[in-house]
Amino acid sequence: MPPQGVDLSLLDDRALLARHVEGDGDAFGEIFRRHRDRLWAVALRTLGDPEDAADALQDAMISAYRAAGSFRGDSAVTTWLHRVVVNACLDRMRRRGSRPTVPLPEVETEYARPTVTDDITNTDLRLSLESALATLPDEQRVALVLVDVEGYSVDETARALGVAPGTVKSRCARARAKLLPLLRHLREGNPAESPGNAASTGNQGAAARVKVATPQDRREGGTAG
Amino acid sequence: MMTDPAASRPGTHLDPDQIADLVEGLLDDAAADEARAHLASCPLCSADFALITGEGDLADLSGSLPPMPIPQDVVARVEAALYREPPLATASAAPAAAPAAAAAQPRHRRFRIALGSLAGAALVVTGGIGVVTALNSATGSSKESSSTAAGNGAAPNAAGSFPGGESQAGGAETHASEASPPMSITQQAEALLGQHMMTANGTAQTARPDCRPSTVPAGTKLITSGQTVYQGKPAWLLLYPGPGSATLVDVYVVDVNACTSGNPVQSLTQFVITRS
Repeated sequence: MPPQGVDLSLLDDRALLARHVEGDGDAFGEIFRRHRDRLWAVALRTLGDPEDAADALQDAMISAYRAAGSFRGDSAVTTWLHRVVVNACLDRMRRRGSRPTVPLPEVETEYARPTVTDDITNTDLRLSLESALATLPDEQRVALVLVDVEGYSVDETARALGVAPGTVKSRCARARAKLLPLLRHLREGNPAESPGNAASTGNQGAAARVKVATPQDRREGGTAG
Repeated sequence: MMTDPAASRPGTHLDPDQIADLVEGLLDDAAADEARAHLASCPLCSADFALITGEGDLADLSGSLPPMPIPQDVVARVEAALYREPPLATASAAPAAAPAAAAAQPRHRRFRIALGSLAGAALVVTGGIGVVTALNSATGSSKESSSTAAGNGAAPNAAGSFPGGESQAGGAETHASEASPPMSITQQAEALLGQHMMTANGTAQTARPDCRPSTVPAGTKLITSGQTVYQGKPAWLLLYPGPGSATLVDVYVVDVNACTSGNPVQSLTQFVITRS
């Protein structure tokens, strides 16, 4: 056993992981405490369902706990943990693949109308992005979360999902197209920055809307793979 | 930037879906050429195109989403699951002089986990059948514990499938502790074993000395024994002191017929419990 009586909160992630591997029963808990919010966010964004996300996070933490000895230190501990969580999420998605998906209503929602005010606060924009992400079909959302949120390369994502890189690019493009009004806002200095422009540059009417995924979209997402 | 004359004529710009179609190669040649020509001359649409293809880090959302605190019930769930995991142990963690201790430590905790469910099941399903069923269901981890030393691959499965372990845990919920709050795991084990010994034929019986498994050193004093049924066959439950330990007890399950076969006795399964 590693020496006792050390304040774990003073140790960095690598030191904690090393203690865990040496049999310290508290070290891994400290690692989880530090990163649990971000790991939860990855799981929830990837899976889009809190129950599934909780299951996946638990699976991931158990498997990281057991496999800690195989961590070679080529990457940051957080990078490794994120990967483990993503893999647990993908496992869960594969397993629930047989579960019938509930089609989202074929309506356009109002939540992402940047024309309501031209002074959207950053917080509102973030929240809008979060909800818009949640409306994407699974395949598009996962690709977007892995590439644009988690920062994996297209090739890595393609390998993880078992599809061609072109498919990942397509799914990301399709997802970004749906988020476009929000992305325009996000990139200030963009020609389409102002709400007035956002409205007039699209041909979908006066309000820039994020179209909610339809069953048709889901089918398209499926055949693209 | 309302200076672009095209901006005032809806329909002359590419819509996001068209751009995505272009990226995906879904447009026919003529439409694709037209779209590319438009992109080349329209800064608004080419900006959208850049966003949709994720040029550079335009599509990077890593810093653009709100923080998402993990719900407390999920924290509790994951922490309880982690708590049930045996600590990792490696060769470096065990004194070289006592290799048996390295093997016994994870085994020990593992069995406490399995026994927790065993005791819990017995408390709920009173009677011999329930005990034997629970015992058999716990053998998956027990077998592993006898075949692996510092490894920890199989035990966590037992932990995962038996949520009732470690009743001394402050936060972890356990069925066993709900049924009998004041009992420690050790007490539960002993109560269970005591009850089990007595239920075989209504009276306690003692195993013959030749039932000693060949892995137990000759001369090791039998603590106690009892009859049981294991995998549908009559068997002895034999308790020997753990090697070099005053607190660990090795529990062996031996086919009754093995005692009279004249061959070295192989245990059907084996696990470790803590003496109180």
